[in-house]
Order: sequence, then C-alpha cells, then structure tokens
Amino acid sequence: MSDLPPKTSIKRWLVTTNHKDVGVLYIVTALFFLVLGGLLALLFRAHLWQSGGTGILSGGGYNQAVTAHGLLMVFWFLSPIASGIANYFVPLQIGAKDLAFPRLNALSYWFYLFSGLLIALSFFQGGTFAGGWTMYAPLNVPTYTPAVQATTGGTATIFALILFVLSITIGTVNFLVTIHRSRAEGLGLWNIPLFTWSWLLTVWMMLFAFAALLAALLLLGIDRVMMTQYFATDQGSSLLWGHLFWFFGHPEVYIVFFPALGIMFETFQTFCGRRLVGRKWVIIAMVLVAVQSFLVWMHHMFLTTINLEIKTLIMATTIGISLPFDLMVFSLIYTMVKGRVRFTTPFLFSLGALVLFILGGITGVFLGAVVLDYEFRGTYWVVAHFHYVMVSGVTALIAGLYYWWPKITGKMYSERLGKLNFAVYFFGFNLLYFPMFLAWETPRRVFNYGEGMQIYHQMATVGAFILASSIAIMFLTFAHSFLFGPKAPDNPWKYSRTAEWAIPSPPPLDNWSGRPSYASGQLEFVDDSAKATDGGVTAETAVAQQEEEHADHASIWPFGIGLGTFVTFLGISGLTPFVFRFMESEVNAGNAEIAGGLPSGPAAEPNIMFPALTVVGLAILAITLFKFGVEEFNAPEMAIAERWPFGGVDNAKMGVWVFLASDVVVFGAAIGAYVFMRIHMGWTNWETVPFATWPGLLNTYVLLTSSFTVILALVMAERQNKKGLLATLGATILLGFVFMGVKAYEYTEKFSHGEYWFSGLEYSLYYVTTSLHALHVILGLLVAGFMIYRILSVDAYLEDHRPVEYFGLYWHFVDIVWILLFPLFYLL
Amino acid sequence: MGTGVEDMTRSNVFGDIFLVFLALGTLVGILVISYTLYNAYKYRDTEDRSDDEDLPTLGELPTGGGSGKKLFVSFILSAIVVIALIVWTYGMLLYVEDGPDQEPAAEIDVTGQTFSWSYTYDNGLEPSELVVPAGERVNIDVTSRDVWHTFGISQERVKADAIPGEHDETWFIADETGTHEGAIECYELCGPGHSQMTGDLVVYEQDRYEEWVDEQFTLNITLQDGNEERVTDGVDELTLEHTEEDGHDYSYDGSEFENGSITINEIDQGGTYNLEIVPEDDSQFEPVEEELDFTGPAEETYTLESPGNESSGDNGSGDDTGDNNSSGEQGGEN
Repeated sequence: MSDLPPKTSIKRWLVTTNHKDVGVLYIVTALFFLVLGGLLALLFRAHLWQSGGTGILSGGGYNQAVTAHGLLMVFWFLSPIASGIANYFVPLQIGAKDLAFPRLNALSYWFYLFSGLLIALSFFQGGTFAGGWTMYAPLNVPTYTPAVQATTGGTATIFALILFVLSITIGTVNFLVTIHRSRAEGLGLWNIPLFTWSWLLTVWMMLFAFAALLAALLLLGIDRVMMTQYFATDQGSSLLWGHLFWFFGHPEVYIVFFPALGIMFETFQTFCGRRLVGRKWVIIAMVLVAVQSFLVWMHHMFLTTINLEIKTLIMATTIGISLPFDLMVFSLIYTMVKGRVRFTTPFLFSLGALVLFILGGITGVFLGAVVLDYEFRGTYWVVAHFHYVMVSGVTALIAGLYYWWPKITGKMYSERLGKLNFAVYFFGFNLLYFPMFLAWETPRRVFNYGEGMQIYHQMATVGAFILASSIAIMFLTFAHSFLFGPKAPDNPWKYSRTAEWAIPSPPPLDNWSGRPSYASGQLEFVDDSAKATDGGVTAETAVAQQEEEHADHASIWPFGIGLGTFVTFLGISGLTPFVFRFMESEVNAGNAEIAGGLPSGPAAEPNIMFPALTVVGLAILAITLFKFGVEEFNAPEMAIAERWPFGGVDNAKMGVWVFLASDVVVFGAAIGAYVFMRIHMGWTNWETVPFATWPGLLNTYVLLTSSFTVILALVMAERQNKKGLLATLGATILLGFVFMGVKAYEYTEKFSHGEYWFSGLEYSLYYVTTSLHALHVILGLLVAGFMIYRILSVDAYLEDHRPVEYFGLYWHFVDIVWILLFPLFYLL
Repeated sequence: MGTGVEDMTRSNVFGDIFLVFLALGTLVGILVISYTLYNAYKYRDTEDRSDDEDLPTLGELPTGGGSGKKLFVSFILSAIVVIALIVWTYGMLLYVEDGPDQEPAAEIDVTGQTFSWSYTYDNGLEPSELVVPAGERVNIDVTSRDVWHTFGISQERVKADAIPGEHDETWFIADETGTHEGAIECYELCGPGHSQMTGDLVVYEQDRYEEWVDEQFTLNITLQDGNEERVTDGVDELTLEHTEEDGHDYSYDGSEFENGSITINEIDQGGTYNLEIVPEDDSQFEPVEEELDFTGPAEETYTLESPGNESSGDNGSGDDTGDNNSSGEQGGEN
C-alpha cells in the first residue's frame, strides 16, 4: 500500500498518512464545522432578536442550538484547525519528514471526522444533547432528559465526544513523540520555533486534560446507556461532574488559545522583521501557564458550596496564571518597537487578535475578584469575556491560515480581499461581542431577557451576521486565490526565519531534498549520500538513509478502524431502551430497590437496528484492526536527530509511556470519583459490594503471576526461544482468562441476588470501575492473542523483541491498577 | 472601611468594586491598546530605513530580540495593578461571605425545581413569591429538587448555585420597595423551560412586611354538617398542635365561633398542625382529627359527621382530604 495516488484522486485522501495531507484534511474538516457551528449561532442569535424569542426556536430547540454551537466550536473547530496547522507545519518547523507514527496520525484524523459525523447525526436521533457544552449533572443523565425518547441523540453526542477524545489522545501521543524525538540536528528544545513550542505545550496539556474528560465522558456514557448512577444522584453527583469537567475545562482554554498565541508570535516576528523580545521568558511563561492550568479549575465553581479557604487558594492561583499572559502580551507589543511593521493580511489578523485578547484579558481580571465573579457567573459577562478570549484565538488562527496559505497551496491571494476580510471581521466581531458586556445582566442561555437589554442583543445579532459574512469573504478570498492566484515563491514573506519557508511551495512529499541540520547554527541541507562517497559517514547512517527512502505513505486501515468505531458507537447510542426494559422487568419481578433509578417518562421503544449496528461495527473493527496489525508499513525513525530528554528510548516505547501516562489520569479520575463520592456519603457509610474478599484476593495473585509470565516472555523473546515465548505468552493469556472468569463468577453471584449496576451508587462505582479495568484486561488479551498469531505465522518478535516489552509495560500497568482497586473495593 | 462597611448591601459592595475595576480596566485598556496601535503605526515599514539593522534571516536559530528590561518593568507594573486590585477586593469578599453583623429578618429556604422556585420561611410560610422587608438582612439557603439551577436576583447582586443535595447559603439586603416582576432568574441551563424559570421579588417596607406576615397567618375555619349547613352549636373545642415544634398549641372554645366560623390570627409558625375538633358530650357529631398544612392564608371547611350518616367510619373530612389516615400516626410520633 505504499503507492500514494495523486492529489486529484479521492482515494489519495482516504489512504494518505502523510502529515501534510492529514493537515489539509484537518483544516478543511474543521472549517466545515466552523460553518456548522456558526450557522447554529446565527439561528439562535436570530431567535434572540426580541426579548422572549422570535419563535424561530422552541425552548428545547434553543438549548440544542446553544449546546451544539459550544461543543462544535470548542471541540470540532478550534482544536482541530490548530491540529491541522500543526500537522502541516510542526514537522516542517523541526526538520522532520513526517510524524513519528503516520498511520496513527491518519487514525486520529478519521476518528475526528467520524466523531463529527456522529454528532451531526445526533440531531436526527430525537435531538442532540441539550444540556449546555458544560454538560452539568444531573441534567446530563436520561432521568432528567425531558423526553426520555430523546436520549438516543444525547447519547450519540456523548459518544461522539468520546470518539473525539480518542482522536485527541492518539494525536497527542504522536506529536509528543515527534517533537521530542524528531528534531533536526542542532535544533535544541529551546530553539524550536514558537508555534511548535506552543503546540508542544498544547499537546502536553491535552494529554492530561483530555484524559480527565475521557474518564468523565466514559462514566457519563455508561450512566446514559447502562443507567448507572454516577451523575444521577443528589449525593455529590453534580459536584463530581463539576470537578471532573473543569479539571479538563480550564486547561482546555489554554489548549485552544496556545496555538493561536504561537501563530501570533510567528507572524509578529515575520511582519515586524524583529526577533521576539524576551523569547526565553515567553517560553518560561508558557510552561508556567501549562503547569498551572491544572490548578485553577475551581474558579468555575466559586458559586458552589466549596469553602472559603479553597476559594482563596484558587483565587490566588487564578491571578497567578493571568500574570504570565501579561508578559506575553508585552513581549508582542515590544517586538513591534524599532521593527519594520508591514500590514499584511496575516499581520492585521494577528494584531487584531492581540487587541481583542487584551480586552478579553482585562475583562477576565474582573472575574478573578470572587465578589464580582459571584454576580457575573452565568451571565453574558462571562459569555462576552470568553468569546473575546476564544475568538481572539480564532482571529489568530485565521492569521495563520493567511500566513501559511501560500505554502500549502503554492498560490498567493489578493491582499485587497484579505484586508477587506479583516475589516469586516473586526467590525463584526466587536459589534457581536461588545454589546454583550453592556447586556451583562442577561443570564446565559436564556432568551427571555429584560426589555432594556433588547437593543444590545439586536446589535449583537447584527454583528453576528456581519462576522459570518466576513467568514464568507475569507472563503471567497481563498477560492479566488486557489483558482486565479499567482504562483507563490518558496518564501513570500520577508524576514521569516522558520524552515518551512526554505522549501518549495507546496513542499514535496518528503519535505526535504537533503537532511535539514542546524549543526552550524544555521539551517543547512546536508547531503548524506554525497558525504558517504567522501567516506565521511558511518555505515549505519547510510543504511538508515536508504530505509528512509522507502517510507510508506498510504494505508486504508486507519479509515477502516474509524468507520468501525463510528458504526459501533452509533449502535451503542441506541441501547438504552433495552436496559430500561430490563430494569422494568426487574422492578416488576419484585426488585423494588431499583425503582427509584427508573426514569419517570416512558422509555423509547427498543430498536433492533442499534444492537445490529453495534455488532456490525465491532466486526468491522476486528477486521480492520487485524489488517492494521499485519500491514507492512515503514515509518523510519530519523537517523540523526535531537532527542533531549528522550534520547534513551525509541519512538514506540516513548509512545507507550506517554499513552500510559494519560491512562493513569483516566483511572485516576475513575478512582477519584470513587473517593469523592465515598467521602461525600461519609466514608464509613459505604457498603462493600463484593460478596466476599477471596475472589479479589485470588485475582490479585492471578494478575501478579501473569506479570511474571510477561517478564518471562520478554526473556524468551530476547533468547529467540520461539516455544518459550509461545508458552509464556500463552500462560499470560490463560491467567487473563482466569481473572476474567473469577470476575464473571463474582458478577453472576451479585446478579443472582438482584444486585445490578443500577442498584445504587456503590454498585455503580463497583461495577463500572472494575469493568473499566476488565476492559483493559480484555484489550490486553486481544493484543496478546494477536501476538501469538504473529509468532505462529511469521515468527515475529524473535528478531525484534521490543513489541513484547511494550505489551509488558501495558500489562504491568493494568496489574498495578488492580492492586489499587482491590483494597478500595474489597478491603476498605 | 470602618463602620461604613457594616451595613453595605451586596449591591453597594458590587457597585463599588465594579466601578473601580471598570475605571481602571478602561484606563489600562485604552493605554495599552493605544500604545500597541501607536507602535504598529510608528514602526510601519517605510522603504527609507537603513539596511544595517540586524534583521532576521531565514533558517537562523532563534534568539531573543532586544533586552528584556522594558518587558519586565511592564510585567511587574501590570502584576502590581492586578494583585493590588484582587487583594483589595479580598476584604470585601470576607464581608460578603459572612454578611453584615445583624440578625436576619427572615431565613428562607429556596428550592429550585424545573422550572420554578419555591420558598420556605423560617416561620413556616411558603408564599409563591419571594417577599422580603426592605433594608434588612435576609438569609437564603438554596438547593434543588432535581437538576443544577442557579438562583439569582441580579438587581440585589445575589446569586447561589442550586445543586441537588447541597445547601448554598448566602444573604442579601433589598433596597427598592415594590413588586419586581421576573427579578429572580435561573442562571444555569436546566432544561427546555430554563428561559422561563423566573420569579417575582416583592420588597415591602418594614411595617408593611410585618403586616404581610400577619396576613399570611390568617386561618379561617368553617364547620358544616353533613347537609353542608353551618354548624352553630354542639362544638366544645377546636385545638391545633404543631407537629414538629413545641410551643405552638392553640385551642378555641366553641363559643368563639361565629356562625360556625372562626378566624385565627395569633399563629406565628407555619407548618403542619394536628387539628382536633371535639364535639360537646351530648352532641350529635363525631370528633374530627385532621392534619392541616398551614403555610399561608387558608380557609378551611370541616364537615362534622353524625353517627347516623353513611360515612360513619370516617373521622370527618376537611377541604384537603387524602391524608386522614396518616394523622393518627403523625400524632403518635410527636
């Protein structure tokens, strides 16, 4: 599959794994969702034309529109468009040929696209999720979904988000390994361009923040499908969701804004003809923000029942995190001083973004004062503030599009159209969002505002349509350029410095004709093969060089896996009615305890299509994952690269470590949920769910033994002992089955007493946490089974035993999790 | 702040802080943005600049431009402004957390449910609107019966999350008397009716408020017989006994009734009462035992049954039937 069809062929775009192609796919898809989210905004802004609503939307329809607008803009537009730009330019800026794992890169794109299709479909499944983009509990569970019939669309939305987060997780692992391990010679971490810096910190934040969101969404998804009780009770459910969501939600603000900031740094430097003032301090400031972003989340919850001490602490960290931004803003301003400022379209957008960000920042300081926050919470002040911040980010991202458009397409655009675009955009933006400050007493997500506010809301609505028309002008400018634009030179911008401008526009498939190197302190392209003839290079390098020439760029299986997951999730979204039925039958059979968990309304009619879809999806997944596993795909590691501080491991191992780090957060959140809920109900009021301690103890021994057999498997692989490897891996699988068997016995025993996952909060925590662990065991068993197949069919892992080691890392991690779960659920 | 702070309303506190923030914010905003635009304009690229500058070149390893001195001065200045502002407001936060040092005129439990608010006063009243005295501290304890709401009265600058299972306590002092329609709003998305989840705030002068409370505690009881005729004779005593709080027991002699009816004004604690009507010994009537939910002005009619009537097993029935059976049990618990 290594032949990449031409760009005019549709097949090219289905099979490509090249970072530039994937980048283009990301950008195009993200712009599509910008339009979708924007249309929803126009819809509800039109509804807001008069107090009480113009009647375009019903109450429920209005909630769907604002919810989907928020979700689409934050998740399906803002992050992915940055992903797209990063996909295209981060490898170029660091001198790499591609990302570390090209097929996984394609996979994250397809997960993203299919997650977008899933949320789009949710509108047609009885209505999309309508509880706001913050998805507060318990409105987010079926019991409180106004029409229980409409749970399918809401559940589809949640699963779309889960699929999106999977896409992000794969992407973060890929970028972290790439940026840390594929930098050109001489390009130390300090020296990578600022867009890459901002993206590096973005993905580090994503790795942990999105893991917390993944855990929250998994628990919510299970609540919605299986009727567990995490977010349905009045025993801390609301606060649990608040903490989990905002632990993700606050870093998300910086996740969204950092790439925009990076673009502002790049464009300011280029179009001012100056180097960034205080570059090192700016980087340090960004690192501080990235770390501290995980310590401020409770400022979104000042009005809940958290106590004054915590409020004070969070207030302090919140002020603390605002200060590094002051430094960044001043750095941008001083970069203009004594520069040669050229008001090109990208610079205008960047300068506009800076001005808007200053306003967003100042109005944010208001919210840092808790007394003011008390009154602003849930009002248009917050709406106006975060739109000034987030959409100033959008402004900078548009600057990025204009900045790099000539590089991506090889075409210049009309500066006149671009400037018109900026003028209309900037005017529309301020007409849309500034009146919201004046109308701040309007509660959020309410169309029944006071009469006195009407004029402001009408201004905002007019502004919204002007802003939308500026986006239309942007598309027009790009279309005009694509069709009629003059050819772009390699470097259309004076004083640009980064490596992407040193190669043709658009860049060739393999990016570089020689090996990029900064060893001399200046970008040079080293011809290794020429050196080889001079005898100046080791044999190893020559071999590596040769391998790189055979790098693959095409695989259809990422698309297949995306499709399979999509179909599976679509199927799962409609399973709730079956669980309702089961609960009803249990209640009718006299199991009265669970009656409280039943929703008040009538359940939707179970539809056999959904389980069928689930099965079909799983079948597609099984086939495509297998094909993905056996496919020959060569993605060579760079022979010579800067790798600090991860020089000691290889790409795949670092990938596994990084992935496990995010999985730690997923389990951490799940276990955190247990601890939080248990403390909330009173630690000692907890009733132990398992019927006895011995199955847990037995399983602890079983898993510990299996960890030992995995270690033996690695030893056997190192000794190239095929039989020994088969035996030890086989033993591991067997022990895994014993573990699952004991688990099944335990569950069955509980079921036979009428104690199900929906029987109460303790039961939900027990079943879900242990099932999440069991799911990890099952995935491990599937991988181990696949490895045995590979050993039998192609004598795998005898030459290169590293995959056995990676599997071992994962398996040990799963064991360690169990060692934590055992005392929590069986002993304490 | 001295004594000035003591009686500040939340609107005053908010107004003061907001004004300072707004003034400083506007000033800083104008300064910084003007300076930004000034620099952009001043250093616009003109062709007549000399070329001996150290301009960035393609492919160079990045270095910082210029000295960071100016950067740090600006940074520290901005940090001082921000930190000073927040520290200044922290004192106000402490005041807002505890409230003014005065006895609350009313303590009100506010419960949100889709899509309305309900109120229970510490004296047991449950009016459909929030009624408070002007210029006096009122405490509220906010929770929710179903999903997450946020209770807020923008004009009084008071807000509290209404979270199921949680009790968010705060206070406010209302200033402006009158009926403020729709002044109470929900600030957290709670479902299809979120936009309509409003309530009225009624603020009375102190005297009028007390009058209102008295009006609320007006209980009118009328007795009738099986033929819906007023009972003017044969009742010995009517007693009311609060089911939860001691010291709220009342009894009325048969002679206090006028044309089979009595208006009771002395009760000052709402809630559930055990009501007992004891007929005279030689009367034709059966005794009545009932539970009475008294949370606002009420007119109750009780039917005194004669043993000869069909419904002889019944103790008698009031307006709100249905909980006759439980009255005995409830009485036992107390």
